[in-house]
Amino acid sequence: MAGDRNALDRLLRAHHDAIRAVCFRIVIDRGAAEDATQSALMAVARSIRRFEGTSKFSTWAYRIATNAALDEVRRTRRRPSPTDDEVLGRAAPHQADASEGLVDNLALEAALAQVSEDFRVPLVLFHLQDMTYEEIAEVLGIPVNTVRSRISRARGQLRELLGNQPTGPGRHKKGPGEEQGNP
Amino acid sequence: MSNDTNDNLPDAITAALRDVPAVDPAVREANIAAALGAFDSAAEQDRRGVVVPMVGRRHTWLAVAAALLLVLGAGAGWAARGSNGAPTVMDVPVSAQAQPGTGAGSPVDTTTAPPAKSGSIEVPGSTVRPEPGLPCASETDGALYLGQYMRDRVLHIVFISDFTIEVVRADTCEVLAAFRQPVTPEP
Repeated sequence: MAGDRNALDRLLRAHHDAIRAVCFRIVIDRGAAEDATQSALMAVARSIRRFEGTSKFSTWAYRIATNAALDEVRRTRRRPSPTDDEVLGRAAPHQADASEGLVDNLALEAALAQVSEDFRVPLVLFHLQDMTYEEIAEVLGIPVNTVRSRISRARGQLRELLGNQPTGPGRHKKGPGEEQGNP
Repeated sequence: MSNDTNDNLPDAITAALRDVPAVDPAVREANIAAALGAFDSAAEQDRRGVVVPMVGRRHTWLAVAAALLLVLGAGAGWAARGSNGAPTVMDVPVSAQAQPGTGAGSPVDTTTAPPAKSGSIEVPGSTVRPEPGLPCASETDGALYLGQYMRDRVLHIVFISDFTIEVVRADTCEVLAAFRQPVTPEP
């Protein structure tokens, strides 16, 4: 029992920042993101005994974090939020930074807020957590091809919102569909 | 659906995406402490075998309590009718029913027996009162005696503790059901 608790403590410490990062990029609102982080960690702790090890712990934990973050997004949406307009209004002035190769965090948050969750979540999991298309498909319960197309559309939207700029080598993992030459 | 243009994200955007504001160490510790607390709570519930209803509403709790009282009342009424004829199980002291194999069948003076932890509960038409040596008391340590009823000639005892009502089969001390009052989050 004490051993379980100590092991969980180590797991939580190892994954805390990654779970928090997922929540931050999905929820956008910082206060709500902190709430989502705590909800996610508590959900992980409550469910850890049911974790069967059929997938990686991180995949399982990110699924919980994603759900907690989306719950928080819905809760936040139900609350009148005067800061929403401020966040959206911040996007334009920062676009100039993007064209200079710099993207301000606030500008990014404002742009992300305009990308719907359906597209934002797979994008975050891909670029922030280096998850593969297959892992993201497992987390979200959607087909791999859908993951790929949603990430692609999210990238396009982000680029538009933050100002077009040259595409760097970035991180581009190939999903199985791509390797087979599927569209 | 993807095309070359959208297959990569500009480095600046990717870098910004990964540049999540640093966490306050105190917040991290608080988050981990809360999670470990949730783990302890879940482990405690597993240990006690408590069934937590998915729908956490106060009226569910009240409905369960009302249903239990109804069952107790019906059981008492049934016992009262039965006592007009042949002796019923309810006429037998609790200790005699609960420990059939131990020979602990000596009658208990139910009128002088001190009350159980919660004090005795008057059940109309019944001579049975809880007593200090209440069956299964050790299994429900710290619980409050709520009442008892007969079903299929087996005594069932109802306890309440920590906002949980438990129905215990007296002869085996098996917890047959547990109803936990949902925790209402603070506004």
